[in-house]
Amino acid sequence: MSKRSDRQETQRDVAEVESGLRGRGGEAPRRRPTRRGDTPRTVAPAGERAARVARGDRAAQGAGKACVQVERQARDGRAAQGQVAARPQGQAAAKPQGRAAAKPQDQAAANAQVQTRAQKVRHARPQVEPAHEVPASTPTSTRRVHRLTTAVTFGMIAIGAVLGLALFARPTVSEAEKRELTHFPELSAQSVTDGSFFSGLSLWYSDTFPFRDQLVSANEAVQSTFGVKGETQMVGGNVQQDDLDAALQEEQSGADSGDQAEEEPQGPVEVPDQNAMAADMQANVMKGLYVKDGAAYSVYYFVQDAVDRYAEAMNTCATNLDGQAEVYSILIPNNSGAVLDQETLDSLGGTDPKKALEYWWSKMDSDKVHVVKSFDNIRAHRDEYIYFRTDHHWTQLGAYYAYEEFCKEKGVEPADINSWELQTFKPFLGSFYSQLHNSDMAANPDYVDARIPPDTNDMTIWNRDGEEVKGHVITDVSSWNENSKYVTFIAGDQPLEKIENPKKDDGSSCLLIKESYGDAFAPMLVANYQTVWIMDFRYNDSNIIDFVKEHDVKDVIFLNNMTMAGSESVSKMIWNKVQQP
Amino acid sequence: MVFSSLIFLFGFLALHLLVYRLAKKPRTQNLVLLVSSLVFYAWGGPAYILLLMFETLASWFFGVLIQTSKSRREAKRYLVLECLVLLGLLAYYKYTGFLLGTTHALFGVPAEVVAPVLPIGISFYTFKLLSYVADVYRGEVQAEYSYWRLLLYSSLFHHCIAGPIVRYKTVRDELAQRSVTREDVYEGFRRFCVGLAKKAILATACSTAVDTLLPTGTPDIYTQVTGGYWLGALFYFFQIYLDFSGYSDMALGLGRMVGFHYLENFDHPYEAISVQDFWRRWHISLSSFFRDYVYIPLGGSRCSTLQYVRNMFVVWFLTGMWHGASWNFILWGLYFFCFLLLEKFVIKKRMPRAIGHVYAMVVVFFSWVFFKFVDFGEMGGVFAGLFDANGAGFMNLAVQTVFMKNVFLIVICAVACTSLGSWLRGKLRTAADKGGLARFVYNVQETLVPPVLLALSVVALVGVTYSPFIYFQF
Repeated sequence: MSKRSDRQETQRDVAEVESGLRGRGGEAPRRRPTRRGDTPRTVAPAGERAARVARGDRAAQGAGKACVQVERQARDGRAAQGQVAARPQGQAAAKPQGRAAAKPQDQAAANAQVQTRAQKVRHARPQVEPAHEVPASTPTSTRRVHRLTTAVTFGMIAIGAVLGLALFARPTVSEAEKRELTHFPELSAQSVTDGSFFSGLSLWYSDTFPFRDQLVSANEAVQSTFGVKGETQMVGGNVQQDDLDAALQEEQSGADSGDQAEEEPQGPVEVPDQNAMAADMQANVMKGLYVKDGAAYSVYYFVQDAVDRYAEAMNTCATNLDGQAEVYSILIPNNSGAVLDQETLDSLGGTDPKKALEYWWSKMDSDKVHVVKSFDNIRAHRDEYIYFRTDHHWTQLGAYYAYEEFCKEKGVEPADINSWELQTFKPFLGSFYSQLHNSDMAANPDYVDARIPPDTNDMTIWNRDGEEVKGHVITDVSSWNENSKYVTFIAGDQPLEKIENPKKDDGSSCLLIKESYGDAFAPMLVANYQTVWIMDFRYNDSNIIDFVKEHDVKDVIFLNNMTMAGSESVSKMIWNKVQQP
Repeated sequence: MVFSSLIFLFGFLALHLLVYRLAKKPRTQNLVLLVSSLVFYAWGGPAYILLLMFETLASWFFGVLIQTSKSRREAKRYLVLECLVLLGLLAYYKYTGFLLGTTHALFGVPAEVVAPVLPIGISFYTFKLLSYVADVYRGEVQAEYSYWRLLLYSSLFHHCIAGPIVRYKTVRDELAQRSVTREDVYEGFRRFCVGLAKKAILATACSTAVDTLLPTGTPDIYTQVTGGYWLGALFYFFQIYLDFSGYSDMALGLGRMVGFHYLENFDHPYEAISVQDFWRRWHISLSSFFRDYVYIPLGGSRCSTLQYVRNMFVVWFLTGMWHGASWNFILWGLYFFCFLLLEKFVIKKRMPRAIGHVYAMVVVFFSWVFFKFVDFGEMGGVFAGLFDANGAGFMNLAVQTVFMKNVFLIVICAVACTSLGSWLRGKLRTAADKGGLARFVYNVQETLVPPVLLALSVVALVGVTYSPFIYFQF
């Protein structure tokens, strides 16, 4: 094999390839000189191949067919020579190929280095060797393994494709995530041209993939291998908070509430829509979570604007309802403030809840508003099961201690709920578990103790669809999903509910304005009032003043969790609802 | 459409590979590729497919004109026209907002900055087409007389949207005729699965950690503890490499499956021993583009020192600007320019390898801070925080929690950034020749790696859509 015949063969082969290009019109293709950065084309003339077969190259013999391959490898000039030197020792680059053998035999034949070309390549810098190439003399077992693996991998993709097409198997709702999954996007000329149809399709495809919940759990299992769970954890917590001490000082340095008035909005303020508000509330509760021993604690962060506005809303409400009803304000701490020991609480980087409450209470006009200071009573019982570990809510026992304080403020006897019928629902894995999927929580779930008021367990509900339906004060949720057990209390968050106590006829009535914390509290009010109205301010558009006057309510009880009440969206919404209509 | 999505894997790729296999003749195969690529591109932005086709048309037209031109001057004119058209369009779509924003900041005009929507992949295909015409002008490659084949080159979904910037001369022959062996298909699949795993599993997990630790766009970015900034920067350091190289791996794998052999775009850049070495290993297709079409024509290093510095400045300014239409990217490019000058004139290869490696990693680590934060205020805040100058303390429980939850991930990512995997595979392969246990282990590894990585990636891709509506009954 002379170098010259090498070159001739190469030229002929290359020419044949190039003639495959269309539109040539017989024009002689311009020779493409190799340049720095170019990869050498490796083309083996037929003579070389025959020579290798003659040498007894196992690989070449193993086939029975002509090997056809054009193999490119980017090489450093030196490496190319080294490789080329090694080649004659039996490392042929030619491989027997089943599939490729069928490919055109007329074009470039089995490969080898074209030494001349390789030497001509000027390399200013080394070319990159592709990650480990399988050299030619691959054992048959490996080759078989490769075929098998290719088939398996393609099979997996095929199965996935088939599953993806199984439209009937696509979930529409996720139990674990408690939401409706993405809908199939709307097909219209507009949505196609601006690309929203396609992006919606991609999202829909991933979001509603069959066996989604199982795959999500599998993913969590994989992600749990990424690290170790510390004994205590803090999720989030890098939160901006206002300076409570400064606010307290401002308050104490004599500015009376009249001076503050010009800072507050006078009329209704803009509030976010329901979904945005709900997302905001979730974010507020979850933004700083301290996790220890399978229990999560939500940290409180002081937001001065919101706190001031909420307090002012209480005052306004009392003023607007003067002569008609008494206004009570019950602010409830997060589980961190209620349950954790002071030292731990101080180390979490949030605002001290007791101090914040002191400030808050001081902003309310105690002549007009009945401020129920339940914090101490709740905290006194912190060794009891007063808050859930896996959920941000309190238990009915925790609510009872606030109820005790409320009764004290009102001047009535608290009902003896220990004598009430008890229903227990377990297991309960609530919002913190949904957020964190902490395995300690799963191993040690909560349970919900619900005490049924003996006077009545019936309730009228005006639900979110606008229908009036009958329900129960305590619903049997034993068959419900394990993260929905808190809904046993007054059927969860409804726009409006009414409980009438048949055993009372003194005309007493109250309106409980609440978010979900009020759920565990409400059943106990049944013992004290003939009519208990319950309004979830997030889902009810009514103006509170109007409502109270219309239904001749005597007591208005605002029951809110500190974090929620002290958030911008909630404080604004309450502010709007207590304005004179 | 992105490679790391279920609809790509199970919708597009499955169908594409099936149809491609059914096509036997090269022309049909190319047709399948072309149609698939156009569908793939249209998925992301149907309106801009016309732009891609137009730019390809312009390049085809000028390429043919240059090929058939009678004088060098005439050919040069066509080259200039081509550059004007393509770079003009790129400037319009990509840099209008940037330019207007800058003049607005400096002079107050225009009052409102309205920027056109950036078409997908324009940075990549513009450079691909420019390289094609420039190569025709230089006589390095024959002009492509078939518009459709050129369109196939510029729109091929393997590399259209996220690189590498494949040169026409690299794939010219393979565009005409490809030969695929079973080994090619296996290697292609394997490469694809490795890239997918890097992106869907590792890069995504890192990005979650980065978003937690360095919440851009919120005031919390200024109040993180020092440890949090360092840890966040470390995750970003991993994320950007795994993301980008994962994408390139997928592109190379997809190409290999059908017989294309693209050049490597990454060569374990985090093993570099100097900044210069780093840039020989990172985004190779881009740096070689600038080297071949900007740096060398300007004179490269074969000129006076002043001109050399000027050439380097231009190249690194453009490199930064290519990555994003924002001043922080330009700053990032010039940051490397400074270190490259330092290495050329001061250090001059006197640094031992180990120290050089540490030095290079430190330089690169900080460079990503310039890269990530478009807003200079945030960038300053992060730098302040990195050096404990924001008064927030060194460590807190939240950062510790993130670290503990991801401690093995950090190790896995670090290993994934090195060539340990392929080195091991190579060693096993050599040992496998002797048969016995080594061969068995090698075969087992060859069998398991692609499907396992694919399965884990699919699981991760579903998992990433998990967003609990916890505020139900809140």
